[in-house]
Amino acid sequence: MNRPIVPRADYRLLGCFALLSLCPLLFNWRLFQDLYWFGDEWDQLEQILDHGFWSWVFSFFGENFAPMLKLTWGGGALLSGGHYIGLVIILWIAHAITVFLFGLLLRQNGFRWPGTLLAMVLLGLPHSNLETLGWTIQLITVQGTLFLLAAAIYHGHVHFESAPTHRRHVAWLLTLISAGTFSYVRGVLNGAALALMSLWPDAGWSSKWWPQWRPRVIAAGWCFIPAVVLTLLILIFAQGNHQKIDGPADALSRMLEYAFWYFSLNPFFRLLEWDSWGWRTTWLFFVLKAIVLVWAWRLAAPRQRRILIVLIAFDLGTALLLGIGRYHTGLPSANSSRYQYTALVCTLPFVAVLLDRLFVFLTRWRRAEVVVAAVLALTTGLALALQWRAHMEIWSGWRGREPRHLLTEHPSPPAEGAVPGIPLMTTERAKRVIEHYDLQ
Amino acid sequence: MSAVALLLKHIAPRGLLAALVVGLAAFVAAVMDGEARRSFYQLELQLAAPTAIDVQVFWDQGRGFSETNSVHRTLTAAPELVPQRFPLGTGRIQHLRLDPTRRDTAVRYGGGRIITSMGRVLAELPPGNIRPGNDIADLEAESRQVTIIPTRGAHDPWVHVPLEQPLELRYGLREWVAAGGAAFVIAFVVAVVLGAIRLGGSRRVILGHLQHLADAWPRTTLGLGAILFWLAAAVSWPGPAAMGLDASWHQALSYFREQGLQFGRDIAFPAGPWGHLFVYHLLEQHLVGRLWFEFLGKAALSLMLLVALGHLPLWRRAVIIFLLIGSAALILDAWIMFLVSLIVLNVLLRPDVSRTLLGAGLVTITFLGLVKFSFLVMAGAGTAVAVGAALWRDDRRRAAWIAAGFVASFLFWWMAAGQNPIRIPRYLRLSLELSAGYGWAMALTPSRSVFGVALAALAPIGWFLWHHLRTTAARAIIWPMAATTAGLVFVVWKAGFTRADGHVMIFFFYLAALALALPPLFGYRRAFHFLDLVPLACLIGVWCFDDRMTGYASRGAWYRVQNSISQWMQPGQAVAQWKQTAEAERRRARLPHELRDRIGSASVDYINYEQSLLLLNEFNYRPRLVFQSYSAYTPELMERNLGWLQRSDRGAQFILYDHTTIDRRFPTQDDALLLADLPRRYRTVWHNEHLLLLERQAEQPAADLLPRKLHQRVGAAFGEEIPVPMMPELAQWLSLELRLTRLGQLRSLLFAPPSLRIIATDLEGRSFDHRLIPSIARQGFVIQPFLQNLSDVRAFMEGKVASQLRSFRIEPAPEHEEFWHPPIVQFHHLPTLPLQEQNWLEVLTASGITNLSADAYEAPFRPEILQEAGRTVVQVHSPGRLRFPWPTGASQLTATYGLRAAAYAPPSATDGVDFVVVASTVDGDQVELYRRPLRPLDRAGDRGPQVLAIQLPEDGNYNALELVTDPGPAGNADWDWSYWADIRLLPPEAGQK
Repeated sequence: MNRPIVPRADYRLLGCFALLSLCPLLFNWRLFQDLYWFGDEWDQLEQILDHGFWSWVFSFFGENFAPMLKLTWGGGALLSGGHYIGLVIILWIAHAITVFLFGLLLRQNGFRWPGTLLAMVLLGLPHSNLETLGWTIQLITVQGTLFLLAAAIYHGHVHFESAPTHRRHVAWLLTLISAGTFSYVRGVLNGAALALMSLWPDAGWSSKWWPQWRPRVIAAGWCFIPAVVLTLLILIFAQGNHQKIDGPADALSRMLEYAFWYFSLNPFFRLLEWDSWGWRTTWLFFVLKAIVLVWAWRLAAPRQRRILIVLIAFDLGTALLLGIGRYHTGLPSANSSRYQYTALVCTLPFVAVLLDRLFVFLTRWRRAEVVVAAVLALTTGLALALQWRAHMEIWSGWRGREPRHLLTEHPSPPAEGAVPGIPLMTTERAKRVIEHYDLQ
Repeated sequence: MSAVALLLKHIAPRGLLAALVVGLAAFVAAVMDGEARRSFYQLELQLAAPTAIDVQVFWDQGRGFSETNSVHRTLTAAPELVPQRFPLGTGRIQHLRLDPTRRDTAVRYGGGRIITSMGRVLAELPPGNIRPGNDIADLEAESRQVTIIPTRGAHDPWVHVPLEQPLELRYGLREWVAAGGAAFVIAFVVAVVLGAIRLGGSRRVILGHLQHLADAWPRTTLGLGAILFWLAAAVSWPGPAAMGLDASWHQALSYFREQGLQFGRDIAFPAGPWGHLFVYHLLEQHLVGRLWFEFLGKAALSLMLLVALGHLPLWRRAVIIFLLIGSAALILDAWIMFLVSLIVLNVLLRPDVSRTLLGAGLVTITFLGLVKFSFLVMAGAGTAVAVGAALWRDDRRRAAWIAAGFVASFLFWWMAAGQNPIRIPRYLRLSLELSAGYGWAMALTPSRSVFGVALAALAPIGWFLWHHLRTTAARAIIWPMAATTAGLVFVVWKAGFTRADGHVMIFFFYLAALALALPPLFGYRRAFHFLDLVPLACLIGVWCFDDRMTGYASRGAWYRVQNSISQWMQPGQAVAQWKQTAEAERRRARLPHELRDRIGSASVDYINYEQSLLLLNEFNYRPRLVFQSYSAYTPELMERNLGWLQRSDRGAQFILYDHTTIDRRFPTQDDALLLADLPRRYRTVWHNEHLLLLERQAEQPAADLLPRKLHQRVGAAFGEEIPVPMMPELAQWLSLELRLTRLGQLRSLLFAPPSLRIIATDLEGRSFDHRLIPSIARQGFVIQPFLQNLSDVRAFMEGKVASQLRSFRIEPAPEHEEFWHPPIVQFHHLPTLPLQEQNWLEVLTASGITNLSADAYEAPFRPEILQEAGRTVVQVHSPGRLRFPWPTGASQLTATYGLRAAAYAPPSATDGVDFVVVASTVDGDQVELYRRPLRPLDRAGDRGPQVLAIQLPEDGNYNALELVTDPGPAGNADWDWSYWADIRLLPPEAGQK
């Protein structure tokens, strides 16, 4: 158990590329400073103000029950003294850690450097993540992913490398899974996906299978516990579209349709900056994604498949949950920027398998492989980072400068409709929140 | 010995099973034959006419008569009644109608009957039962026959052929089984004999013996195969000159050859300098040479095909030949493309082929490459890969041999066609330009079923090639073959599915033959391979395209053999008949003397595509570079045609202008630049209802690219109504910035570009739905004035605006929305084309419709000058009014009036119009001088032109005479296409005469 997850040298390179994912923030620091509180953030701040911090942490929000997220985000909001950029920094730090863990997970499961590094920059730097990384309430996704990856790494390390059944490990595993599960509503998938990881038969079957499988089955059971708890809480207490699943067939078919669009279009549609929209496009991307998944699966080593199955299950589960929760927002929202992060995490390992295969000729020269991979990833990453500016110029305008001016500088803002993204909140209520938290 | 043992001794069980499968396939094929189903019930009429005449039979299934439920037949001149059969299809038939389409020819009718193809009579149609329908002057009854005499100058003569009671024509289970049963028995027996019966206790079945014989006498097998293919597929007796789009370019290719025109300099067309040898219609002077080519050249090509099939197993060769024979009965290109592919794959790419065979292969593909540019692409690309493959194998000598052979052979054929080698680069560039623009202008989308089957047929080929790419050890052989096969299939896919009409059959037949050839070409030794199922998918594809085609293919091949034998056995008689038909066609196409005299021996060109009219009238035809206007579909081709027109040594002295187009394109898109420049350079000197004759003006402005001045640029959404600037004094030019989405680009690359429509609305609110060609729209076209018909163009040539558009909208074709970005619309002035609005009242006098100037016109739509029933008329849609100042000194009014035949031909259904003549006083009082209600649907006598002649009152304080069209008592003006003509106000003495 004391054996490191990957060789120590790997940590340094992974750390460098994790830091590289902060480039968009650094390159566009001025524009990020322009960002201002938006949409749900106003609602959350007002709830803290009205109900008190701890009451708010353990309250439901729609179908969401996410005390872990509320702790981080609410704590960050209070500790930053009303400075939005403070929360932005927390978000980007969480992002860098996630990218690091993503690379670590890939290396841990036998991915080579070309696939790992290119997958890291494709997760860390594309502007398709603009909404996730430019709106602090989306810490919900980054934090949930962070704990999923951390749990997957720990689970893999403990159960497949050392295979102990010590209580300490169970406690750690439960902690990590619970942290992810209680970060966002899709956290119910974290435990299920990791349970699948435990049960994946990568070692084959033998006549004495039960002694080998017993710890796995037990671990899978532990993994499920947080998910079951969250599911029960949601079913009993929360309001949301999940109550319509047994409703009319039309709603169910629209949920499935939304799920299909989400699964098919993300993440390649935005990654390739595609410009058409409709069923043909969706089918095209479904075929593209299916080819990537199937081809990569065929090429993947058993050890890699162990993580790939977790991610594909997570991706499909996310598609279904989003179908249930968001179908009413219409199909165009299925490839919203905010949904790219999870899709990238779930799909990029498959792309990494293909990239590894593409650079298989370099395996003879290990050092050359690292150098070529690093140069390629660095070049790709910088190219991706430079694309942020054009998008941030627009984003920071309507997400920052304009509402900030309207709410804090304009002499006579309209009484209603001045708070962007949350039309029901009046200017008077917003000003109360601004004054209380000294929002800047 | 038991019966079973005896059977097993002489019958191979696997062969029996295979025969069963073949029998079932034949059963399915016969059942699928749509033509057999359509022609199961037939109308047999006894007819005779003194000259060749087209007749058309319509049947009504309860929704009126329509072109869909009709069939044409050409009767040859015959003194006695001859039975003529017309397939009736299925369904409940309520009425029958017979149209003798020549209005000046009487047709004799001796009754008829409705029968099945097995001869069962379902209904008798005695000759005395027929009734006049429209434009029938008389029905003269003789003994057991009736002579149908159309009205002089009739527009649409037809007679009713009544049925005693409606007939239910069903194609039921019994008919299905009868059709399939015979096919099953024949196919099963043949297959059992070939594939299951053992000879003399031998383990080898008859097919095995045949293979053995073929191996023992390869040259005999080769010769027999070549003769069979030549007779049934390759050789064809060419057709005489005729009218029509395809016939026009067929004959034009002959003409270019005769005139020694240079491809690349004088002509740009998808066919090449040897294209005239593979077209159906040709000029008489080329007949003998062409027959020699059919006899010798096609024999050589047939032999080359069999040689290139070389070492394939006998059954594969036989089935491929069978498929290609079937394809040749429907469409020519499939077997030529297959031949080129086979030579590339089995001759050029094989390292062990003799140089003689290699040379023969190169000579063949370069010759075929100069028949059509797409063949050249296949041949050129295949040769390039073959050179590369030889270099990969370090066989530099062979690579050099192939490259040099291709170039030398290409040059030989190019020069043998009378072409200058210096034109080759330009020929290639223009051909590429034509190819690049073809999809934008000509694409037609296939049905989903045809497209789906095509993809299903392609998938195994793709898998086969991928599998060999991955697994082969002989990469230097297999990789070039796989890459070439993929490339060749892609070219044929584009050839078949870009314009997915009958062209899809090229793809299906080609792929079927190729799939059978590929396994042995890639070294597969066993008898069967999964690719052997691809032909079945391809035949299903052909069936999905048109369920008659599989039947046509087999019957067509058989007719071809019969015709070939009879015509080649008596060539003198066949040539005489050919010339007789050509002469008849020439007579039919004869233009009026006035026009012929006017043109004389001066050079003349034709817009748009009916060049055969010039050739059949033996004019001095001077084609422009892209000689059929619908093919000038890229900016470069449009500019080149404009440049051609503007050069005094190139532009023809006369242009015969025909305002037609293809595929319902927007009417000013064909040759748009040239059309807009015509008024500056030509003037109208003659016209009739279909044609304008334009003569080149002595004073020609300097050559330019039609100066345009941008005055409005707007972004628009699809479906958004875009107003057209109303400036009648200036012609408006519309250009569009159209961009494909990436999905659209992908579609365009892999399949065909998506389509657009333009729905234009004129000032009277009428909508016109046209196809918009994006590649032309980028350059632009005249949008204002709106040149919808020939009279609009005539006015345009005189600098007048006859019709204007109020607005238009652009829409993607249904389900093509994802492929386009919203357009940017640009309006330009054409400062070199000043215009003024048409004064319709002047036009009425100028066109001879009236001899007194009218001073007012009122109707829901603008007046239209039309040709109806052989005279020039003005359509005054009811409720309408044409007012004249009171004709002082005139005592009589005569006029012709009526409702256009189209107003009461289904689906149109006017309820009639009242034609009224009114005299108005200065006090506003009105006196009705004449009223005649016409109800053409109810009364046959109300159809066609009617004549009025009335005396005008001498006394009274009248100041105006009005010709009124009134919608009738119901007030319903739908389809009230009422017209006036020959309005004459006569002085008293003329009236008395």
